[in-house]
Amino acid sequence: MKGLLRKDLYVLRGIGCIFILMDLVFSLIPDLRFFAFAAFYTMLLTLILMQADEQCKFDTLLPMLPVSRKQVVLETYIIGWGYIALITALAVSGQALVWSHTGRMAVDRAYLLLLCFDVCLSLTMQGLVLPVLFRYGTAKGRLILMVAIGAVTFLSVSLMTGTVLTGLLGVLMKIRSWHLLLLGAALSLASVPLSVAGYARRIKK
Amino acid sequence: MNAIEICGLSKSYPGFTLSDISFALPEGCILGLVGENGAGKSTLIRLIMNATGRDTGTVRVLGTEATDPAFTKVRGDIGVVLDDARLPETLNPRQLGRVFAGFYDRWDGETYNDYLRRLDLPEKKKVKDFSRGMKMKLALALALSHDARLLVLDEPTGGLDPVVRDEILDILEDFTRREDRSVLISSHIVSDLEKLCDYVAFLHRGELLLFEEKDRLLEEYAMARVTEAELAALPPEAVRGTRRGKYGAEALVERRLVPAGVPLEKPTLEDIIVFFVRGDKQ
Repeated sequence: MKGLLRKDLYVLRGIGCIFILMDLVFSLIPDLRFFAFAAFYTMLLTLILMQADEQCKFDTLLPMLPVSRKQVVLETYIIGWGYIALITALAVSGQALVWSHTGRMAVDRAYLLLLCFDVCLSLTMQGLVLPVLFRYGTAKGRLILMVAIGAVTFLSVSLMTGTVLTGLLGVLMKIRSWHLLLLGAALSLASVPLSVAGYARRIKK
Repeated sequence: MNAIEICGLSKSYPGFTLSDISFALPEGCILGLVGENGAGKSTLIRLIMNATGRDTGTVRVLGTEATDPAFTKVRGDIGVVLDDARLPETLNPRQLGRVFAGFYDRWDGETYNDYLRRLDLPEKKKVKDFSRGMKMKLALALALSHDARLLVLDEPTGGLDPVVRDEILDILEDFTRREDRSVLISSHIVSDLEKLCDYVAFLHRGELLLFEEKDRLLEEYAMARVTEAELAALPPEAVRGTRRGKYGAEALVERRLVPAGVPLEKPTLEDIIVFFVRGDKQ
């Protein structure tokens, strides 16, 4: 798996840095309380990685290397989880930086709930999209990915309007933040065996 | 021990069937897999590496059944080169060395760097800017730098100029100097295989028409360049294929079945393959 991680990090070096830079800029905007970027970019990064492998046909060499199918799938999840963690850390650090400069506390309960909601959303989207991409490849799986990206974009735009955000916060206030994290993690982990089975089926064809 | 052992292997796709393939490649030997486009060479290689599912049969590679979960580890003893190299295009050879070091337990960075120097491959140039020949040489360097016991090569010399082809064949000859190392190489270029191989397998429309030791094959068969009348006089069971021209006929014959006195010439491997296929159309 070490080899796969290295390969993907090399492939992502350019585009990944641009995404991180954009996230960093967004995280520094005071009072920007929603970070649906994590879900959006995690899906996009996964697509970029899988497409790069398919374009050069590395995906046909991969099953002949000493890497199990489970490792191939798990590595893609790990890249996603790592990226979600990084974006979340950036968001918190950005707001902390804003706080230290303005002296105004930006990290309150509502902020934390929205952050956890975003992590949950990112993990859920990953759990929904990856089994499809592993089963059908990027050419067919891309359609599902586009629908998912569309849904996340719609949600994030809706949340920019005060009423929807207040509504969502009203719902979230009734939930503990770690419940959201647990839900996202459970959905993401539950989709791993599905992705492994889908990938095995695609390879076996 | 056999490096590869295949028994009753079949795989069907819509419009194509690879049927009932059986052979065994002894350890330390080189097998040349020959066949026209679409004969099933790449499918056979994918089946050997368990990179695709089979319908029936068994495949053992370096003593392990290819569908066994333990085979993932055995792949660490196998070097693979596929046509078009199929390496991540945005990486350079130095980065690929680090990536492959993560795949193979016995990766030897020193050997890899030696190959890069020997094959004149720039370390920092991206794969996408390489020529086809450079890509194949790089794929070969990657396949040879982890002390593999078996090399599996799918069309490594296809579309390359004779100089690069020769360089690749030299490296393969070097690789097989150690007696426990085996090679499976598929190619259209039969003359390349003739230089290199101990065994020849000939696939034709998904069927294994021939699996034989190369030297025995070249001893068993002969070319008879004869007139039409002399051709008609040859025992039909001796003739495996014919080609008729303005000035006479050529036939691939089984040496032991031809009566003494008929002038026979030593065939090339290409003659044997071509006449085996033409034999169908007699």
